[in-house]
Amino acid sequence: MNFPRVERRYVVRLFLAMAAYLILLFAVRAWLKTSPPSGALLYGAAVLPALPILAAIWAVGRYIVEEADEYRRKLLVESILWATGITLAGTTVWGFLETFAGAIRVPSTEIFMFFCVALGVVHGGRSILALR
Amino acid sequence: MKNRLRVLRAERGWSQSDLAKRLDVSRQSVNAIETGRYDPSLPLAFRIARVFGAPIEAIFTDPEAAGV
Repeated sequence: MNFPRVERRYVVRLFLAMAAYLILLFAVRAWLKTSPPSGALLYGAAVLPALPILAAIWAVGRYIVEEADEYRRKLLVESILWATGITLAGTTVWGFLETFAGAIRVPSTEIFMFFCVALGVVHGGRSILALR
Repeated sequence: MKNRLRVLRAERGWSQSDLAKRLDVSRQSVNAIETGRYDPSLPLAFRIARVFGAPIEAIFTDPEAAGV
């Protein structure tokens, strides 16, 4: 059966993307601190750490496509919808807390991390419950 | 949807994992179908029927048609 392989592939892809993200984040930070470019190059540099995040979003999509077991695919799709809803609800509420109540400003670059944690908790929990 | 999966499986002495292997699905799938939490797709229902050598209607009961 190929199910564990699908999960492993997803985790490896996510791990590689996160490693690339951290490397690019620190590299771009150091670059912009020492000799900040201007114009288009600055835009290009600023966007670099986003690329591994886009790859991680792609990995989530591939996880759905590659999951051959129909029930597990249904569980996964539902978990992704739950995680999306939790992320939208959480960031919306927090945004208003920032605007009106002086809550700490959380950069929007952290939203995907929030989604990943929500997906991990929701899908992990539901996968365990599905074995009962 | 109600089904006789658990009974048919027990008659053959198969565990959920055994049946999962025969159907090439996860044990979670077998468990979810058995407990009525998930209705299989038509292709999977046919595969289940083939594994037990019985027609789909002998394994799954249509609750709306029951008693007809």
